This record gives sequence, structure tokens and C-alpha cells, in this order.
Amino acid sequence: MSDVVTPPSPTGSYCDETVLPGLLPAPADNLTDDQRDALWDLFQQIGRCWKNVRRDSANQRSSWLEFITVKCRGQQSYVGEYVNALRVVQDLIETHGLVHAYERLFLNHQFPDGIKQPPRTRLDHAKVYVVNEFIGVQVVAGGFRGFGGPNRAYNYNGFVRGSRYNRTRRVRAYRPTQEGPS
Amino acid sequence: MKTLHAEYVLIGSGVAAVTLAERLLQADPLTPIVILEAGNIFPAKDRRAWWDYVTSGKAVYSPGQDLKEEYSVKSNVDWDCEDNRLIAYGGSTLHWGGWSLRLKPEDFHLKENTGQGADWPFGYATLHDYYYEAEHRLAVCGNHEESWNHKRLNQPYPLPPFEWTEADGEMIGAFRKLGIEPGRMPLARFRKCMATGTCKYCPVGARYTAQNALDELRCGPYPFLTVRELCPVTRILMKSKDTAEGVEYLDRGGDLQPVLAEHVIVCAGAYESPKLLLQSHNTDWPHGIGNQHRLVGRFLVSHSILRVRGVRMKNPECWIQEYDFPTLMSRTYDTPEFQRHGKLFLFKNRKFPHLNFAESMIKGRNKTEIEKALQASRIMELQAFLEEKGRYENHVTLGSGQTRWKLPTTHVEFNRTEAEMASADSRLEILKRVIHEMGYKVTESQVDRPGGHHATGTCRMAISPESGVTDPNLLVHGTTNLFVCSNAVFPTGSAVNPTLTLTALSLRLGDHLLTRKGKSPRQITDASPGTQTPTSKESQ
Repeated sequence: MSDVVTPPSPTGSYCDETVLPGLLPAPADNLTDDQRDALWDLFQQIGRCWKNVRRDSANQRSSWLEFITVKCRGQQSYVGEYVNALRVVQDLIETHGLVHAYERLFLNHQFPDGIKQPPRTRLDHAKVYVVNEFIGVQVVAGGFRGFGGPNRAYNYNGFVRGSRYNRTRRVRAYRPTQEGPS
Repeated sequence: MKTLHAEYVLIGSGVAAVTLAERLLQADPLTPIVILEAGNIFPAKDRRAWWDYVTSGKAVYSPGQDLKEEYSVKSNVDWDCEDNRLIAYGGSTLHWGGWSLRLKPEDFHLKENTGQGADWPFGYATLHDYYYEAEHRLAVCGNHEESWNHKRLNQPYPLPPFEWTEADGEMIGAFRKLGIEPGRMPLARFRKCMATGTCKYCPVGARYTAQNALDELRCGPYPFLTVRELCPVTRILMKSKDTAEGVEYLDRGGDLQPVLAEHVIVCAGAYESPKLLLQSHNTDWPHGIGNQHRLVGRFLVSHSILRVRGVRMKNPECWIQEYDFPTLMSRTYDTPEFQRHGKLFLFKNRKFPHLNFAESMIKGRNKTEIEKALQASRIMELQAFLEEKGRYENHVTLGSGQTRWKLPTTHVEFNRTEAEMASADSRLEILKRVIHEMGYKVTESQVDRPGGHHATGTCRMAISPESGVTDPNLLVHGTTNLFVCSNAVFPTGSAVNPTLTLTALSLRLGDHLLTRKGKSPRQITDASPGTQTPTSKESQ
């Protein structure tokens, strides 16, 4: 992670630095390979935290790569947000240690929802624009199947289940024995 | 800018305009057609837009949806002014669910059967074959052998139905115990559907939208098809009392431009169609074109939406909704016996049961907490469209301002009578019985606010001008070449979604226009309906 960081904020904690709510300006046109790898690690931490994926999210990498590729294009580029998020993660790790850094990022901090309460700090930005969206991607790319045990769903809104003309089942289909209350 | 000349100018770019244009161009690819759309083009099948929709729930076309401030309303039931319609290239099919049901034979004879509302100037038989062709164009997936489909005369759907899901089972059982026949929702989904559950912004274009159809048309061998977006039509130009000359529109620079055409067809929905006729008043038509009997904008019909929600305090099966559309519906109450007090079309709410895993994770719930919430309870909701009958007092007219799209704002006056409200409330009992039979506790039961989502009636068809704005061929009474082709022409709204019927009417109008030109409509399609698939679009 140390190869991808920007210099520490001169005003103190990077995470608490106040910024405007809109997308952060991009320092470059695209991410470097190292930054992309570091973001992938952040994405994998979601699966490690909620234990809802197999093979450390390997099955989701292609969906995730497509997601960040399109997010780094055009006028609404997320490059600035991704670079910021990596710096935030580094700051949290330096302050809280590796395990507690992600707990704080994913579970413990009361963040704004990004809509009614816009992000105000760099930590808020990392949560709203990166972590929350990565969670959304993780769930639809297959993470939803990590909930429900043997009764997990076959399909979920956002998951590309596939053609109805494939032999694999798309959904848990109705069987006539299910008509009564369970 | 050079004045455009066309044989046909179509106002609006939704399913009616696109279907009509397709029909005319199939007959003669060199037909000069101009399509003018007030709204903007929003990107379709765009990966960034899709991912943004997946993670935020907000579709890229949402800036085209209705805004409350573009309406004035006088209503005793709080008319819904937001998000019903889309002013956009492709129209409201950008956000429709694809539910594609035919009207039933009795719907064409509402007044004859009940003394209320109005009759269509023709019967179901007139639209029967056009419905079949429309189902092929929209790639409707359904089961023609279900009992409510008995009037289809062995016309199979182009594609098989989507199966019921496990989570439909309880409601199917309750339906059967109460003598309600469960059916599979007929849905417009091309073969390439990938069950992404993001139907409102399909990444592959599997749900029919007029936008995708129009894009394909523009890539076709039609050198004289012109489409202009962000070009609101301000008035219809008449060269004499009964003959339209064309239209005037605002170009992107804000200048007024004419399009001269031999035929003007207003395909602008149930609000904008009457508003344009009203806006186009002149010395021959002081109250608006075709408004000699003050019927333009009148008889506004909505669909009352009834909903009953129930909860069960366990979900051991961990059911969640796995499709983004309802697969279960019933037309048991959509029959002649129920016409007098309003037919009901029942369907299971596509959003339940559900747990938003991402939202739970974002809020900091750990896996144990999420699993517990998933199994702790489940919600089911049964909804229904309740048929309304048009009344003169309920109407749409011009507002006093201007919208973002430089169209006049809309003024709606709509009231429900005490009897109508009592009828809607009593119909809720049917839904509650189902929820109770399922073993759920009813937590919510309401009649939703009416709105413009399925508005019809405002330029309704009738044989005589004293009873309607358009004649049986959608020609505005008192004119020779001005037509309306939108939900506005429906004399009745029945209890089902209007889009399939509108598509069928558009095909029929296309044939009528070709007949006027001396062309035989049955020479145009690759196959006659009822024999083989008319188009290859459903195989995409």
C-alpha cells in the first residue's frame, strides 16, 4: 500500500480533513496498476468481513474490474475518489491497525448516507463513493448467495443470472407442494 | 434552417410513433417521415449507466420524469404528479414494466353492459389480429392455454411465460382456495433476457423500449426518416378548417420551425395529445382543434391501485424476490360480472419479499445480524388495478406555465365520487382475504393516489363528434388528415396496462393510412398474424 499513497495531510488526520461533497478531482486520467491492485484488496476485504463469498472474491473480479473501469471514464470520473479511498485506508491502518481499520470502515463508523446527508470529510467520501458502492457490486456480483445458507437465493436484482434458455435454474421455481403456509 | 417536408409528421417518439413509423416504412422504405420529440435522448444499454443504476437505484433517464412543479391539480384524492411519465426519446417505455395484456371483449362495450363510461366504436374482433402482431413486436412471453386467454383463438405467444417462483407459492395456494385462478404475467421480454433483475434499465435491451426500436429504425434503409429530439411541437398548423398543413416546433436554438406534412399524427400520450389540440386553437377552432363539443382533454381515466401488505414473522426459506417483475397475476375479477362495479386485475408486488443486503451491510450489520433479519420475517403484498369509468368532469388541460421541455404545464382536475371510493375500499377486502388465507397479518391496506401512469380517455374515440374527439380510425373529428394515436383515444381503460392495446391500435392506424394510399396492408408483413412469426425481433 505504501507505493500508492500521497503525502500526509499537513493539517493532521487525513480522514477528518473537510472536503466538498461532490466528486473529488482526479489527480490523473486513470489509476495505476498498483492503485488498482490496492483497490481490489479493499474490495476483497468486504468478503472477508462478511464471509459471504468463496475463494476470496475471485469469482467477482471480472465484474469488479468492469465496474471500476467504467467509473474511471468520462466526466463523472471516480479516479479522485479511488485515490482518496486508498489514502483513507492507509490512514486508518496507521491509526488503528489492519483489522480494526476495516472494522471501522465497514461496521463501526456512523457515516452519512450520501443522499440526505452529503459526505463532508475524506473518510465520508471513501465510505459513500467507494466502500458503499463496492458493497453494492459485491452483493450483486454473487455476494447475495452468501446469505441464507442452503436456502440462499438463485438470483438477485443486479446479478446477471443468464438466459432462460440455459439448463441451469434461474430462480427458485414454484412447486405445487408449496401452496400452503410453511 | 430549411423547412422540413414529410408525408407524415409524428409528434412524440414512444411506442405509438415508433410502431406506426415501422409499419409505414415496411410498406415503403422511402416514405418521408419526421418524428419530433420534446425530450432528450438518454443513453441505453450503457454499462456505466447500468452500474450506476445497480449501486444507486437511480436510472439515467430519471431527469425525464414528471416533476410536481410542472402541474397544477384540483382533486379530492391528491393526484400523483411525479415520476408517472417520461418526456424522453422513447417515451414512457423507458421505464415501463413490460406487462402486456389484451383488453377483453367486454371492455369494448362498457356502456352497453353497464350504462357507465363509453363504448369503443368497434369490438375486440377488430383488434384481435393486431394484438397478435403487437405481441410479436414486443416479444411477449405468456401462456396462451391459461383459461383467461380463451379468446385468443389459438394464437400462441411468441415466447413461453416466465415461471412462477417459489415465493409465489403461498399466494397461489391462497388464490386457489378462494376460487381465484392464478395466471402467469405476460411480459414483453426478448429472448436475450439475462434475468438481471434490473428491468427498469436493462443492460442488454431485453425489455422492449421504443428507444431501442427507434435506434434500429434509424440504422435501417430509410433515407427519409428524420428524428429530432429536444424539439417540442408548439402548435399544429392548419391550412383550412379541416386540413392540417403541418406543425411548428421549437428547435434547439429556440427558434420556431415548421414541418409541412400531408398527415399529422399526434402520438404524445394522454396528457400532451389533448394539450396540443387545445394549444393549436385558431379562428376556425377557437377552443382547440377538434374541440367543437368541448371534449378535448375530458374523460380522464386513471387506474386506481389497491394494495394490501402482510407480514409473517418467520422466513425459514429465506425467500427474497428473484425477478424484477411480477410472475403471478389473476384476471378472475377482470370479467363481465365485475364490470358494473369496476373490474380488478390482481398481481403480486414484484418488490416483496426482499431484504436489501447491501443496505444492511452499509449500515454496519454483520453477517449474523443479516442472516437473522432474513429469517425473522417476510412481507408479501398483493396489488390490483381497479377499473375506473371516465367522467366528463375529470379532465386535463393547459396549465399556465412552461415545463423544462418548453411544453405547457399540465392542469389536472380529477375527483372520485363517494361511490367510487366506497367501491375501491370494498375491493380491498378481496385482497385482504388473500393475505389472510396465506397466514399473514395485514399491516397495510390502501388505495393509492391516482396519477398519469395509465391515463387514458382524453381524446377518446367515438362514431360521432358529439361523443368523442377521434373517429374509429383515430382521425380527429372535423379534419381530414389529423390523427391522434396515443392512450388518449381509449374510450375505456379497463383494468390492465394500456401499452399492448396502444401498439395494436398503432398497427391498425398504419394499415388504415396505407389503405388510404391505395396499398393493401396484408402485403406488407412477412407473415400474416396467426400463421407464423411476423418479425424476427423476438429472436434477438
